[in-house]
Amino acid sequence: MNTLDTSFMHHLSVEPFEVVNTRLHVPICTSEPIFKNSTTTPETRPSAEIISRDITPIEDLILHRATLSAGKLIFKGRLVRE
Amino acid sequence: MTEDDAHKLLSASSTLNAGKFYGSSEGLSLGAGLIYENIRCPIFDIADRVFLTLELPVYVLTHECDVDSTNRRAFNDYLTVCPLIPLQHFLREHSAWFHGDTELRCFLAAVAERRVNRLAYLPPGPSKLASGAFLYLNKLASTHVCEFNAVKPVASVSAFGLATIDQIFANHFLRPKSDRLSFSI
Repeated sequence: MNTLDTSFMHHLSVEPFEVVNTRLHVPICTSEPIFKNSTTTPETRPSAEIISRDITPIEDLILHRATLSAGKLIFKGRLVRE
Repeated sequence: MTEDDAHKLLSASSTLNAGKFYGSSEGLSLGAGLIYENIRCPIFDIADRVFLTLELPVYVLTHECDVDSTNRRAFNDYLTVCPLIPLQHFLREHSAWFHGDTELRCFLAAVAERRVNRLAYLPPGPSKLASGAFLYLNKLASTHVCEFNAVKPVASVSAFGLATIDQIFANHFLRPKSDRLSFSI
C-alpha cells in the first residue's frame, strides 16, 4: 500500500490571507430590500397589468429612431468577425 | 401634431400629478431618480447589428449606495440607466411615417393611460423634458460611473415621481410569467 510522504510539510509556511472587511467602509446602504428572502413569495406582488394596446413594429422603429435622434452619435463600431 | 397638442392630449389622458413629479436635484448624489443629459451608453443598431455609442439623456435606475464613491469596494463602477425619448423627437420621427394624426392620438392616449406596458410617460420637466418624454423600459443600458464625474443632473424626480416610476418598472419586470415553469404550484 502506498503511504503519503508528509515529511516535506514542515518546510511549508502559510502566508496570512486577509479578507477585507467591507463593513468597515462607510456609509452602508440602509435601504430595506423589497423581498427579504428570495425563496419566499413577494409580500407585495405587482399587479398584472391588462395590456390592451401593444406597440406595432413601425412604432417600435419610430421609438428606436427617436432614441437615436435624441442623442449624439459618438462611435459606430465595425463588424470584426462574422 | 404640434408638441403643444401632444402635450395637451397626454396630460388629458394621464392620471399623473405633473406638478408633484419633479423636485430639486440639489445635494443629491448619483443614484436612482436623477436625470442626466449627454451620458455615453450603448444602443443596439438594428440595421448593422452592432452597438452604437451615443450621448443620450438618461434616467438613472441604480441605487445610490451601489455607486457611492466614498464607499470603496468591488462592483461599484457600473450603473443602469434608461434612455429618455423626448416627446419632440418622437413626434418628429412619427411624422416621417404617418401623415395623419389618428394613429398618433391613439398611441399617445394609450401610453398616457398606462395601457402600453413597455413605455412610461414622464410629464414635462426641465431641459429636454420640456414637453415630456418616454422611458422605453426594455431599452435599458449599462454605463460607467466616470460618465457622471463632470456633469450635474438636469432634473430629479420627487418622492412621488420615484414611487410612480418604481411601480411602473415593478409592473413591467415582475409580472407573473405567462409560460408555466417547472415546479409551478
